[in-house]
Amino acid sequence: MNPLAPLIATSIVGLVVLVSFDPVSVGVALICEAVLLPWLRLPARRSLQIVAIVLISAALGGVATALYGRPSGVTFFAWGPVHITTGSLELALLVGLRIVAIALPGALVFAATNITALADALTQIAHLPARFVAGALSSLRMMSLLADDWRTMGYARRARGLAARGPFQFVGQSFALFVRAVRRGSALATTMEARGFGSQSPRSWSRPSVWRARDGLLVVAGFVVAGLIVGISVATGSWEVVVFG
Amino acid sequence: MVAAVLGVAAGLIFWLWGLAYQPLAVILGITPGLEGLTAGGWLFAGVLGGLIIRRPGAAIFTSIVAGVVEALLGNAWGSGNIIFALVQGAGAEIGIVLFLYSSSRVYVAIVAGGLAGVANVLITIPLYYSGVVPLVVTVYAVSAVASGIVIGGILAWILARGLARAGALARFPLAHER
Amino acid sequence: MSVAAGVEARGWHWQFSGRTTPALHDLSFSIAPGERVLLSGPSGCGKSTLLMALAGVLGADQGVDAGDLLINDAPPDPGRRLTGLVLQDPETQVIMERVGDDVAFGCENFAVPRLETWRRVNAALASVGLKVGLDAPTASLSGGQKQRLALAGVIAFEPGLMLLDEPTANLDPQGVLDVVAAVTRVVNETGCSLVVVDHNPAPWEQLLTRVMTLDASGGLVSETSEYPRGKRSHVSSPRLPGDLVMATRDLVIGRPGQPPIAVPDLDLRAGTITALTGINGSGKSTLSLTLGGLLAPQSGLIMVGEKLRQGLRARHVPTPHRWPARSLVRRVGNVFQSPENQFVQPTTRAEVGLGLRVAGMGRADVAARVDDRLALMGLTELSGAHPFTLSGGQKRRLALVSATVTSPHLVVVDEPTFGQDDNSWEDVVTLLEELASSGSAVLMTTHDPDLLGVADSIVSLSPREVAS
Repeated sequence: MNPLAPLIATSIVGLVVLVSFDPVSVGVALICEAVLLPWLRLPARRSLQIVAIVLISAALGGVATALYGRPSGVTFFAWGPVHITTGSLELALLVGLRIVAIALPGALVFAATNITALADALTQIAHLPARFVAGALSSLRMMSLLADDWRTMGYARRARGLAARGPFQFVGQSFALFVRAVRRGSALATTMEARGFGSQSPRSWSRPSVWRARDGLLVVAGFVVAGLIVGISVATGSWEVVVFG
Repeated sequence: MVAAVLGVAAGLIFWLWGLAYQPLAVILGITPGLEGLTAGGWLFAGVLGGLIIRRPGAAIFTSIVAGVVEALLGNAWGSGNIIFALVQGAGAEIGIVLFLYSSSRVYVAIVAGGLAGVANVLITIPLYYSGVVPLVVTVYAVSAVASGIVIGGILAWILARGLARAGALARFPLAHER
Repeated sequence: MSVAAGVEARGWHWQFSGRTTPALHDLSFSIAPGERVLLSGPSGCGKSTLLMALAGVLGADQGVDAGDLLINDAPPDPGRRLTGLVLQDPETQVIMERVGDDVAFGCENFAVPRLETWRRVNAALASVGLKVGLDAPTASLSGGQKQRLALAGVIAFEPGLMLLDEPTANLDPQGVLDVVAAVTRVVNETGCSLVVVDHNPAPWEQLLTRVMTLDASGGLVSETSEYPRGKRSHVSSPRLPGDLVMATRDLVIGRPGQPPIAVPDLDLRAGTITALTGINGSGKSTLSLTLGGLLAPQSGLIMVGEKLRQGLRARHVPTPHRWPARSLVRRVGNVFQSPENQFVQPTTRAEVGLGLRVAGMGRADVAARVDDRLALMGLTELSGAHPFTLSGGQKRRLALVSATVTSPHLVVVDEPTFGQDDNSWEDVVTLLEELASSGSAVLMTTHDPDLLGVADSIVSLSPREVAS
């Protein structure tokens, strides 16, 4: 499976749900996702973590809507700008579920993606400039190094007699981290340049990235789900496009 | 290349910011839209990359790499996170394009940060605030843009100046400006 | 197989933008194809700059040149595939996530066909003696393995001139031997030319055929017939061991999320220097952090001597990691392996004075003490400079002096002589001895055989995991 295919497919579905704003389209999207996402075969623990964070995020959106949603129906509670009504509670449920429908597929698919394979696909299939993609890919390796630096800097601040935590610590330490990052980035750039990276001449690919029929089918499936969402929603007469505020 | 590593560092900061944000969000989440004040923490990467590198695409690229790193470290948004980063980076990029990549002064950072804030609003409203009264939408929009200007813009500018003073940017135009 | 490349320099200059004097000037020399050269000279004389120039990675955006510098009769350009460069820091030599992909990277850039690329990748890995498999994650390699990986990544595209810039500086003794053996095999197999810069030239002596020396101003390449020997014999004045400052019994250490490590019992006395050795990953740094009061021990006892315990709350005494930061900085001086990770102030002066200010010393006293310390380490001229802008050796000295400015009873130093030239090495050792003579207990981790000669006792850590 080419890593681009599931990313494209889930993006199409996410976009359609983002544009629409009605219970039927959200419901259809969630049902389709519930059927299709288990095929990713992500480890259960990792999936649960992701689901939990998405749910928290959805709950936050829901709470805000319950408090400040467009009021209608019976009012349960009103205080200043807060109006909790049957209407705002319905909207809150819709907003919460909609966030899950939009965010979950992308989050799960990304967690199942091999980054090197994705970079190969981006350069060879999507024809993005190798300069940018390979640069980003190799920089990602700095992640664990910089995380170590961050931890050491925390120790160092205590060793130097400074308070261990607080906003100033965060800002000061962030600065030092960026200095390290730029230094390491410059050295890595030199290493890559010295191995011929970034010259104008053509490049070869040691790992072919292929786009098979089934990758195309998966993208088609994304369009089919998107079509189902809009189609059923329009057919039942509940289709609504999201409005700003 | 340096843009990419700046992005990686920014991504780490994003992630730490995200951890700090969780408890804050619970408090701000019940206010009418003030959650926007925290948005700037995710907006500075594009501005920083743009101010330092000052070439077309640097702001978008730095922002995207930061988004990818944050997603890899394990926030919930996965590819959605990268779309957020792309849109916000584009906002910052527009701000820097307005000055034709010719300046790294503080007003450039303010404009770029503010536009990154606008970009954040454009994507957050339809996702989170599609069901609320206009007042709350307005509060969110204003606070997110303000946060973009202060944290995303001015703080990024201070950071870039500091890096130049620390001698880390000898290869870039910013180091040779007064 | 590669064809060895030759170098010809005629009156070549290089000046970095923003500097008033050239980094390198009036260079005229030639290196015949197949020659193996040691490039020597004092710290900061431009050896690295010359290697970068030969590799063609000094960009026009970084400075201007004059005169001729030619490799096989044309200016250096990495796109010509004539040069291969390996740098000091193993971490910034790794490009890809998997070993095979990393070695293939250069071949891809030079458009080597796929099957040929993988044939070369396997051959290169065999040449450098790295038998870990193509799919092994590069992150899991040791420093010495990473440097051999970098070497493989370079020889895979078959350059005619190999340029090595301090390739062994960050390695433990076994890593140094492995890298030198790998380079020797590669050079003998391919017959390529070689230029090596290394503060520790001894392991390369068998391989190299010629020594070129730069002077301190970056000029005048002279030929030396004699191979350079380290001048690192240090005459110590005798010290008297004093009271126990800190001791451990049955201590088990570990960072969060990593396996616990049992360490031998230690007795750290005032006026002594204790060296801690062991291979990379044996827990030296973790032990430093634990005794330095920065990391909680997993189990066992840390006993704190009379001097250290004065003024501390009784319940805090056995747990240094719970001491308030202000108390810690007066009692323990921690010096980290990477100085950049410990600098927290915008100027060299403020950096040195920080510990004193935190400890509550008056302004005038702070100024006097700071002046004295800056002078001792030869940093007076740089007192207004940002710590990050100092050279590697200066950073190391600043880190040492700023962490020990409060004359702490215990000094914990991680690899104090990494990457130091002979002069800087001498300064570092002098300061450590001064601290011990004035009554501190000094604990240092090191691989440096010369530095071990300075220690009063040596403790060796072997990786002993605790059965859980």
